[in-house]
Amino acid sequence: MPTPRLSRSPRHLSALCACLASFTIAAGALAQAEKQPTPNQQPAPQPAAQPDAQPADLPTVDAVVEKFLSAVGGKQAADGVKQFTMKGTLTIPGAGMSGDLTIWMASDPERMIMKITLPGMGDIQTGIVGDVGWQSNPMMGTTLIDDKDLESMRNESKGVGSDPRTAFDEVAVVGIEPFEGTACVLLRCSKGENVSTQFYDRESGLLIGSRDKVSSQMGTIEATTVIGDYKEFGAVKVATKFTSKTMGQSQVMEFKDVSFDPIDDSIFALPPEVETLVKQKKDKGDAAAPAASTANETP
Amino acid sequence: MSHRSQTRRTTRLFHATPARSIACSLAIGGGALVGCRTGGVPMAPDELSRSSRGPAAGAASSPAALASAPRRDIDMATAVESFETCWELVNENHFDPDYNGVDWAAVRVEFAPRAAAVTTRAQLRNLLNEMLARLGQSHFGVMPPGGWDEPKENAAQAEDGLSGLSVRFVDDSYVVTEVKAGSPAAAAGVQAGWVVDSIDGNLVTSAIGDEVPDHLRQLVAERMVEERLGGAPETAKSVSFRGPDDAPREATLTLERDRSSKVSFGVLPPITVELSHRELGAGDWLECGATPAGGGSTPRVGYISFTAWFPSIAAAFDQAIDEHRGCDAMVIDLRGNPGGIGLMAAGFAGHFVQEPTNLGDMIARTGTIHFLAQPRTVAAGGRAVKPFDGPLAILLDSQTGSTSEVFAGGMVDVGRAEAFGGPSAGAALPASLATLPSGDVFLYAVADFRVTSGSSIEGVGVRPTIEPAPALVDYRASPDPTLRQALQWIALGAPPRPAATGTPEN
Repeated sequence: MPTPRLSRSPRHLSALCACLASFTIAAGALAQAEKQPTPNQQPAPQPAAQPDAQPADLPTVDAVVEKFLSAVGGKQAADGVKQFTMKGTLTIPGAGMSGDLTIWMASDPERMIMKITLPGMGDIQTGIVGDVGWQSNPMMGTTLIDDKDLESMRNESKGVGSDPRTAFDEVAVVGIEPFEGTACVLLRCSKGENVSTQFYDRESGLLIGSRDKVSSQMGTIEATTVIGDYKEFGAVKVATKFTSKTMGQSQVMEFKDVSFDPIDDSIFALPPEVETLVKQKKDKGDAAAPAASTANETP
Repeated sequence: MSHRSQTRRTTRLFHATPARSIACSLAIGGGALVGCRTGGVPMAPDELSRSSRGPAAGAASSPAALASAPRRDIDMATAVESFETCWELVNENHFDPDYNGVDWAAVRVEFAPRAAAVTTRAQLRNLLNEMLARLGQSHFGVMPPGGWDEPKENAAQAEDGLSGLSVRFVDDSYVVTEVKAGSPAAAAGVQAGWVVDSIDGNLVTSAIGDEVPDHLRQLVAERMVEERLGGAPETAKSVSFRGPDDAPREATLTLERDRSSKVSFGVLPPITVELSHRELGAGDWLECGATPAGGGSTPRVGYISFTAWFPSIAAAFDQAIDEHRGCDAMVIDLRGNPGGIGLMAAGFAGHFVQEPTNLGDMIARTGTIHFLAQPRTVAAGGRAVKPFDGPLAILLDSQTGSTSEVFAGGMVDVGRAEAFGGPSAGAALPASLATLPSGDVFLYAVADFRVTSGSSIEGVGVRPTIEPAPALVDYRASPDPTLRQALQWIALGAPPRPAATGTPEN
């Protein structure tokens, strides 16, 4: 089971926040589905930035990742983190909204709960416990995350600051380019329809930003995230501020507290609504199975 | 007492909305009609001089305006920075790379010097809204922080007084479509179906400034009439009506204090968010003039009405659905509902679909989000439930906007519901908010919304699918002809719609 890591923004959260702040739109929708250009839609910018210059002596992917891992405390220290709790705030400045944000994450078995409490909105929760993933908020109720999106989110959960070589199918160094005024090495990472261009500080090795194209059952969106305010917690260095911009809306996650204390298993208990949905899904699958079998047996 | 009156339906979601802020108010709740903010008002020309337009509206930098301008409350740098922020947010995020046919770069050249010349935040707001009006679309507007309107001079003015009337423009007349139970209008004996002729001695007209986009003119006119019917609590409004027989009727309405339930949501001003529901009884059928098929018993019909799409009503909506799950049919009344949080449209739709159903797509420059309704098969606490699968009627009017149109348009488009009344406002652009350096709040559309079949709702609205929207004669025959149409459709067994209705065509 992979070790949870700590220094990348949960990309699906960016999408969620952007949507939540979009009035009259489907907020909260974790984006998905293929891009569907329409006659009046401007071609979306390529999430993979095209560097201005590509020096011949570009570092290798391994060199970039190893430098990053070293910068956050070393692979051994990161691997030593089996569970953590991050507490902070989520702010959507333009909308004047701010609330509490807590992420609990643990491995063996893999579990993640993210809870956002926004005034006027209520509790918004995303959870992954083993093979079950769900979302819950007052507007949409509780829904299971479909298998494809779950895989992506589990990947993301592993990848909060993780090794992009394991989080994505393809990773390549594509150039050197400034990001927010800092010279960075660009890694272009892709897995299926999801594409992430990651900006690693050429000097410090830290990941300081990303441009992501995130696909899910509900659409495809692009987000740019500025990652910063790295702080040491124990033996690891953790980014504590993520400023993302999606669909014209900015949102800021700031973590004030990171704890590696044991997490009570009750935190990861499936809510009763989720248990019911899991049972319904199983029943539906069981009901469909004989039919499929019958179909297969048709001469 | 009308059906909707019994439900305590609040009709003035955006309290005290003079012309200058109508665009803003509709933005959030329903299709921010920004663009129409400085439009003319539906009153006689002689009253225009004392209309509720903001200070220096539309003339922020004219010599006359500057000569009489109030004390400076914004410096040039902040004004220019606010202007640039506003312009750039549109430039960067407008979903249409052609900016709806507007030369947006030229607009900047035209307005930037004027922004540098303003001396007050109010002037800047007016100027920015004048600029945004060029786009001719909903959901663009600048409003003061904390309120839709310009700040009131004193606490008494800041309070809203309500008459209890809802007015809609039907067949060239401003028709009373609802009289709230227990309201000053009800106490004065005003009845639905009456036509408003004048308010405080001033004739109401349908004259609207050219700056208002065609598809928003009716909405703005109606809001202006309702605004003229408003004021501070205890204000006496003298209103001349025409009754069903065209005979003149006079009434003095002493406005009552707005006691509606308001919620706050981010930088938005407090908004009235109320939901009511009940199972319609035989009396309801009788009152609106609907009759059961063959003279038999009335079908069981659940009726849900709410004033805006905000999370504070989500639990109540879920509970209402639960209570009426066993009914034969359901009526969702979105008349006057200007919208809210878009996500809720998909969430609520999940109560009415058996399979994942896409209501439509929100299409921005940087992505597409589907409004995917997932069947709501579990209630709070984990109880398994079945989404309602009976006939669904959605009631619309010209002030049904934004998220309400997303819900209605999407459900109609996929054939899950039929629409009655309307057409709706045609103001359904998903939008975001930003706070400008001036401190004002800027609402700007970031996407188009297209139903699954590909049509946009913006500028078109959702049309009735079974019968034409009620005419004046229908309002005079029934206190609620739209509900009557819906009930008749249900009584007939919810027959399929005629071809080519409901879905916007563009």
